Amino acid sequence: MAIPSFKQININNSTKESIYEQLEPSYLSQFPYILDISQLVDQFEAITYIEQFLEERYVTNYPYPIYIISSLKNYHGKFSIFESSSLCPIFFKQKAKQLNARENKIMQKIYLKQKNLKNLQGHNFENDLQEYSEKHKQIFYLHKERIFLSKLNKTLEKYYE
Amino acid sequence: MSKKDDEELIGFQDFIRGGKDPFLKTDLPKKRKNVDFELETFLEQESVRISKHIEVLEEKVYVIKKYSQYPSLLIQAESENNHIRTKTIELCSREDSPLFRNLNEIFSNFFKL
Repeated sequence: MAIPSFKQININNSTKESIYEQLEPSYLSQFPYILDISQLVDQFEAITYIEQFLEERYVTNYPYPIYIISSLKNYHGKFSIFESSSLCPIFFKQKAKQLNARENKIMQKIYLKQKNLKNLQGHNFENDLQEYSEKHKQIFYLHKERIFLSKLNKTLEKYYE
Repeated sequence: MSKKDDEELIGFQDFIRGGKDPFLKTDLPKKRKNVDFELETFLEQESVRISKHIEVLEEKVYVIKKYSQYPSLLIQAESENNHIRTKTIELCSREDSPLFRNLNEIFSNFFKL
């Protein structure tokens, strides 16, 4: 059992075949991953194929995140982009070492929970969560509008006083 | 060494032989065991994190699906906004309102009235 620490893949080429070949054997969504495309010339093309690959295999940021190392500035997709791996969240930055008895015990628990989570994910809850988030975004925007109008009303009332 | 010398050295022989004897062994610093709890803490936090994910999927998604608060929240938010919007329009439509004054200035300048 390996601890869920970052695994890094340096993408060598921005072509579809090459990206699929590199990502195919990886355990995406079982470990947090860092995909480094910073050295590529056409990073936008690479990121498009990475997204396509992940969509085809139903891989999401859940429960383990996928971070992309790139110098792209205007990316508005699903994944978080960082300029270097040192800027990625440190939670999953763990050194691989031999586990002691206590750590092994916790790791076994984690392994069981991961399995449970994987089974639950088979029920496709994503659509429900997506719908829930969209509906609540709508309520959030209405609330924001209400706050703006209330402020405006207060200012106008003060003006007429 | 003669027998006489041996007799004189009784009691000191072990000391002369040196480090082979256990009583002379010094307590070497024991290899420090890895008592770093960083990894253990991380694993515990990870375990809690996954438990929370499971809780969301097992219980909360079901509640969200079956007993959604969205329709009532939406009705409430919309009615409140409509009320406030009406009030804002009332305040803005007064003749001495800042909106009218500013519009008046703009049109006056533009058409040079």
